[in-house]
Amino acid sequence: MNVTDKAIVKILRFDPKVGEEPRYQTYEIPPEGWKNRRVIDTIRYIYKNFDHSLAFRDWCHAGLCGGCAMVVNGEPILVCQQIAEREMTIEPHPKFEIIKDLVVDFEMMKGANR
Amino acid sequence: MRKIIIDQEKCVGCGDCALICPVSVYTYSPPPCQTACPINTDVLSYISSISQEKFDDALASIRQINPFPGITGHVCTQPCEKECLRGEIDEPVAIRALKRAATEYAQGSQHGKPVSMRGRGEKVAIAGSGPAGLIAAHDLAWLGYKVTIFESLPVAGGMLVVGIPEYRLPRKIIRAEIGQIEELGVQIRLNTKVGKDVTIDALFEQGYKAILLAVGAHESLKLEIPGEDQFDRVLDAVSFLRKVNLGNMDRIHGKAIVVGGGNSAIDSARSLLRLGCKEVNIIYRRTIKEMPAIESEVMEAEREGVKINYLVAPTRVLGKNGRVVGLQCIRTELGEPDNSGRAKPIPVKGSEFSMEADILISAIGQKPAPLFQQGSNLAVSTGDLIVVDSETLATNLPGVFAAGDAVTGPASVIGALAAGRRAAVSVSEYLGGKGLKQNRGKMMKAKAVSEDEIWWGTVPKSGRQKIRQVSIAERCVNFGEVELGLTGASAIGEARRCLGCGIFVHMDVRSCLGETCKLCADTCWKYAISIETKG
Repeated sequence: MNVTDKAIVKILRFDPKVGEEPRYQTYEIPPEGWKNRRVIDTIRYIYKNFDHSLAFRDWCHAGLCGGCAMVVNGEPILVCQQIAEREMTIEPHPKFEIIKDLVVDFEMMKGANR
Repeated sequence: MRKIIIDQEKCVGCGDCALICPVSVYTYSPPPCQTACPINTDVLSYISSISQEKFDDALASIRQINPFPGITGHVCTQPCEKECLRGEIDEPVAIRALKRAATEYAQGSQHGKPVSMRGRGEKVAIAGSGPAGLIAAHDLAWLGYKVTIFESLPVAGGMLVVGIPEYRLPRKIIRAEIGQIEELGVQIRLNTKVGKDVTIDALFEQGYKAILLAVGAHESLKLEIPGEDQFDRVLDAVSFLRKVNLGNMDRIHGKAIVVGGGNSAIDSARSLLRLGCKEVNIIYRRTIKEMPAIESEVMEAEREGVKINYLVAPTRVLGKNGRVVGLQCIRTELGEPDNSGRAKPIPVKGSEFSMEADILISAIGQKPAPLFQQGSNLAVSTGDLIVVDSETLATNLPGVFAAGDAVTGPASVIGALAAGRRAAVSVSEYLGGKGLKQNRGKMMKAKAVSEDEIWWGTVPKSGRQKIRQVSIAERCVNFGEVELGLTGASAIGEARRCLGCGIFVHMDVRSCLGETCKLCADTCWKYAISIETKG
């Protein structure tokens, strides 16, 4: 297997309850985990095969619920609607407070509009 | 860089995009008319529908929030119009008249068949079928509760029927809208007074799980002057208006005096004219500035020939052979503000004079009837008002709530509607249902858009469209409706005066999810939003 076929994925890990500083964790993903797949599939692949403690929202997979809003390589996107790349840095959406890892508290802004 | 482009010509400011955006890109400020409305009516939506000549859509969007568009379209005190930013340019938009137009010109069925949720089956009793009781019944029935309204009078509607005269609010509109509440499965038991015919404890024993007291304020305050109780034809406004509205009042000839400056006083005076009085005098101890009555009603009363004497207070009722012949009065001047924040009238010594009268109506305020509280431990304040928690409207008895005039003292229809809705939320929360919590949050948190946040460009000045009225000569002979509303064409013209101030003040483009999301663009039913990704 060619080394370059592996994707390097950096994910911001943070659990406010534990009290550690936020840190980036790097995963090397084989081609089946990222080639021609969506970013959400890659995150699920990591969860299934590498790290069962990763927290993320995995709701509709259809770009309808908005639950998987994250920042990939600096761009806020819905990760279920984007094809994965070879090098990715995945962070939670910066506008909201982190509940754990990639899960943020969407409710905190809702009051402003209601 | 992402760019959200909103086509301002298409946008109607409905706020759907703000609600669907998962990352709250939009901060939506409702227009000031909406936040001014105690029940948070989506004014902008229905006015924009009318401006596009879609009266059906307009009525549908009013009905989403307000089950009584006809009643409020006729008699709402229109707090929205005071806040309307069009008023800064020329005159505020005639919002109430437009609501009425929506009900009058909507084609086809006036309303869809009412649907209510199934599942919950708890019985809820509501005392009083006035606006507060009716909207609570509507909301609770809609949530699936079995609602029974107990009404002490022989007609349903409370003050809408026995307080507001027919020339302001035709009875067929009240009947139609109460009929729609009954279609939801709400039972109305007439001639049954809670507290007398059936007690609160008895209701709980009959299986009612919660009780809402919306009994209104149907007892007049007394003048507390000598001679008040000695003579015939000295009436209080509530019983006078009730007699008139139930058709139990004979025609009156001669002179009449009405004491007071509220809506009851104006309604009594205008009713007296229609009953045949030659001369109607209102005496009020303060000036027109302090008068609590609706300004346009005061103007109409004066145009019809009611004389209003300001800075006059009554001191003694004069009578002869058991019948009232006049009223001794004293002139007053205004002093320091009192507890109510209004200037206190001080009698001027030696300025007594008397006025002739064949009938005297006192309309100086109302309170809930005290009979109601007998035989229960319900906490009441000194003025016989029911004491409640200001947030939840719960009384000191578990499972008993109170709303409307019985809590606040006499107020407006729209205020009673807001209180009734709030009480319905509390009842449903108390019974473990879902409630309308979201709605409650919406009412409290939203902050209106301010004038500086809007850019209008240049708006050509144009005053209000004319609201048709019956001529003075024709109107004083019977109780036919005085105001005839807008014509279809002038309603459309009036709706186009609306500036549409509900806007998205802030768009936080940095957090927008761009083309991967586009939920806002997809949800926009006017196709007004497009999202561009550059670079």
